[in-house]
Amino acid sequence: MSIQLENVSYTYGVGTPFEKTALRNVTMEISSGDFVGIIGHTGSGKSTLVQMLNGLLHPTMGQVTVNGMDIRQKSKAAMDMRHKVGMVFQYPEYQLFEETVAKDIAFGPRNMGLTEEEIEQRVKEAMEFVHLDYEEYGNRSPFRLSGGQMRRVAIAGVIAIHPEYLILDEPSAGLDPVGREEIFSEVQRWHEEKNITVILVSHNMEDISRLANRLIVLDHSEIILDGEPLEIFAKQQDLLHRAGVSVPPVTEVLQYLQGRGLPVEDRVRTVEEAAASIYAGVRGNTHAH
Amino acid sequence: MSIPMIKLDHMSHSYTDEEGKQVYAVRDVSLSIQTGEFVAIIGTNGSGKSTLAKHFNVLLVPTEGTCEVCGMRTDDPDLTWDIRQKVGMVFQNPDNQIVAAIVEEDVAFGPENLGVPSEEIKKRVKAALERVNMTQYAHHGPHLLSGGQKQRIAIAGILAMQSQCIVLDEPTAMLDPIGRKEVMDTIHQLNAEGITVILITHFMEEAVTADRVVVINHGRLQMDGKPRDIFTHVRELKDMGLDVPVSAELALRLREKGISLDGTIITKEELGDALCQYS
Repeated sequence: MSIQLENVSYTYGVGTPFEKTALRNVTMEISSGDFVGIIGHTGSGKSTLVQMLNGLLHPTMGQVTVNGMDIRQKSKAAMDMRHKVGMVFQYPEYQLFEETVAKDIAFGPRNMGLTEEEIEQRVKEAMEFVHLDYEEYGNRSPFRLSGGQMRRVAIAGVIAIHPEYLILDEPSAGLDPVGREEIFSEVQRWHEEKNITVILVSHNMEDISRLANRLIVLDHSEIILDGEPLEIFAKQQDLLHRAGVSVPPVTEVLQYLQGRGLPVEDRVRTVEEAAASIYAGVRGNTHAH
Repeated sequence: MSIPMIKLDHMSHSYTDEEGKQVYAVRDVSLSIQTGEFVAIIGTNGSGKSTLAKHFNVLLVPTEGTCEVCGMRTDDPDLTWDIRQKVGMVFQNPDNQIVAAIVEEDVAFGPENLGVPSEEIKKRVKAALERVNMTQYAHHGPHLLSGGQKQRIAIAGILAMQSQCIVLDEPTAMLDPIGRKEVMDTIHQLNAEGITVILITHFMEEAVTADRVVVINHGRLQMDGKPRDIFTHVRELKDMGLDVPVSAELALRLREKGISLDGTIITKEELGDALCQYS
């Protein structure tokens, strides 16, 4: 099971003076069970890429298949397959629209043609997943919630369609560390327990290095790097810099310390690991003297 | 002492929730910000920091206490427009603040509304675009700009109104690393030219570059001091649900492991200096 892109290109405004190629000849596969991070500067093609994964955009050239099905087709089977790919847009809290939290979350399952009982079941399960109590919040207006809670309602709305692939576009922008942790601990649990595939688009390199097992870097409409995140952050600073992205703050500090001649390992995911790496480096150094 | 740019005296902002309970978004905050300062305001989501900042250009007025801008009380409706000319705001989403189809027209929008003569507007727009280093984009459509460039256009719009103080509410939250750097460089340069800057941010690497950091927690002013005084309180900040600069946290963790490092380290340079001496 996988999402496959074969020689995919996308051009906006074909035949107009504003014609612009947003993605050029991309071939890649996202396998079931992956946790993929996608980074790149504004305008590098990230959003275009992820919108093609669930058929919001169709390639100008090439083909996108989900579990072997070409999602450009208009058949019922192709539509069902597109439902397997759930997408949480940037600032999803601005897309809430229903009178109550429960109705908002029910929108997706209802469009899939489920029965009322099944819909209610899915709403309850999705709310439990994002830690919002059904009894307490189900009948409240989503517009009366805090920003973090609204975002969780929006994510629950996508979770309720039971996607096999979950695309998150900047899910932590504007959230404090606690809010970020709330969202990512849920996503990670969903990824581990249900083996759901996650595709995370983010400018927050710390989130990427902590969570993703694969990193894709886009620059000028092309994939320039694709590999293990810590490996890329450790070895590809020049390419990353040229692509207008950076390494996580903790990696930046460790690489700075390396530059000052300290023997520290920069392949770490967390501040805790970084402290251990510096400790080992400094201790080793002291003993050598 | 001269009149402060912003002066809050026991200021609160409360509202009544749907169950009829009185809720304080900001509670009993007293604070003075002097002309020319660069102040970072940090706090968790829902701490009240944005509500606080909205008082600085009269998007909100206090329900108790007072807020003064350059000595003008914000609860006097006759002064609202004078105050808004002094203090401009930049918000998180760059796409929500652009009103015109051409960059220079967008920058001219503020002074046009103030009734500034058109020759004068042209001069101001030109000067404002120069100050944010966007002159070459004067005739572009704003939708073709990057996020960092759009935020600089929003800042230019405030400069064209000849405001003396810019309040930025998480201006870099939606930007890529380059855009973030562009915006931070721009506001530091403007601050060096004398503009008062108030920056609300979740990025501690940005807050550490301010002259002064104000911490808001549950609507109250919790801490107020130089970045070094604030960010060496790693545990207290973490308990409030806030981040600290990576270097400050690393220094604390290394101290806990028995490496004797100075308690004042908050930047990577300081950490590097200390570790090089250590070994």
